[in-house]
Amino acid sequence: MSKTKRILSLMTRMVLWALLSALIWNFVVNLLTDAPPRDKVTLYVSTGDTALRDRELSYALEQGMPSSVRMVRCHPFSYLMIGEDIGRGDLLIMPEKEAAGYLDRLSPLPEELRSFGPLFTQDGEIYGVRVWDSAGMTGCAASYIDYSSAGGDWYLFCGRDSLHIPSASDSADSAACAVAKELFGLE
Amino acid sequence: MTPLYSSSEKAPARRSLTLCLWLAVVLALAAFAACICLCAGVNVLNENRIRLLATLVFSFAGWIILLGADLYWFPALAEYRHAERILKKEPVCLSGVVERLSAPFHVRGSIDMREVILKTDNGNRRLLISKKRSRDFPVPGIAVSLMTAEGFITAFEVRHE
Repeated sequence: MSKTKRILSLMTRMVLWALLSALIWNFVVNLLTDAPPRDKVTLYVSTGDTALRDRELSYALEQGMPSSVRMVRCHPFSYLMIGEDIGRGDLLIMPEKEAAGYLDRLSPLPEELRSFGPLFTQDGEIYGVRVWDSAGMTGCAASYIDYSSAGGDWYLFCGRDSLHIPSASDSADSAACAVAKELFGLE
Repeated sequence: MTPLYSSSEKAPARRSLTLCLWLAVVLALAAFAACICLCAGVNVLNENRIRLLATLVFSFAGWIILLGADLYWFPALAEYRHAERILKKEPVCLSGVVERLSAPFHVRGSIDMREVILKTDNGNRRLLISKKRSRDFPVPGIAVSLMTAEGFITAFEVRHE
C-alpha cells in the first residue's frame, strides 16, 4: 500500500473514531441529563429562546426539588415538538392574554399555590397565580425570564396531564408544587 | 556470513509487543475511567462542556492507540511473525551476482521488503529481503553467497572473486 493510501486509511479511521466517540458520549450524557416525565418536573415558559435562561433556571429550581424527582427542566414553548401537547408540562408560565387559548390544557391550580399572589380565574375555576406584575415591574425569577418580551401580567399554571400535581388522576407526587414554591423564592 | 535473523531477537521483540499492548489497554481504560468521572459531575449547566470534554478525551486516547498500532505495533508484529517463521525453516545456500535490488514495497499484513534478482549459474532467481535488514546488502554487480529460507535472504556474504 502506498504511503498516501496508508495515511488516508489512517485518517479515515481517526475521523470514524471521533464520530463514534461523539455518538457514545452524547448518548451517555443525554441518559444522565434527561429522565422520563415521572422522574422530572418540566416548566414551560412562553418566551423566545433568548428571553429565557433555561439552564440556569433549571439549576436554581433543582436546589429545592423533592427527592421524588431526579431533575427540573425549563424550556421555552418552542421546545415542544409539533403535535406535542403542552398540557403534559407540569408548570407553565405565560402572559395573561395567552392563557385563555390554553384553558382546555390546564389543570385547576392546587390549593397550596393559591396563596402566593393574585389568581387567574376563568368560569369560576382558579387556574393560575401571578408571577409577574407588569404595573409594579415586580415578580419572581425575573433574572431568568425576560417578562418584557410580552406585555401585561404573567401567570403560573399547571398542565392538565402533569404527573406531579395532587389533583391529577395518575399523579406520582406533588413535586410540581414544591418546584413552584422554589420558583416564587427566586429573584 | 552476515546473519540477518537471530533467535536472540525474539524475546525482546515479544516483550516490547506485549508491553505496548498493555500500554494501549491501560490508556483505553484510563480514558474510559476519566470520561466516566467527567460524566459523574454532569448537571444541566455543564452538560455541553462535559459532552465535548468526554468526546475529546476519548477521541484523543483512541487516536494515540490507532497511531501507535498503525505506526509501530502492527509493523512490529509482522516483523516478529516473519522472523519467527524464517527461523523455523532450514536455510538453503545460493551463490551468484546481484542483478537488481528493487525499491522497498509493502505487502499488506506482512513486512516491508525488497526484491533481489540473483544471477546464478542456473538462471536468474527472484528472492526477497526484509527492508529493515537490507541496509548493508551489496549493490547490483557484486558477487554474493546467500542463505535463503522461504524465498527470503537470511544471511549473505560478499564473494571476492
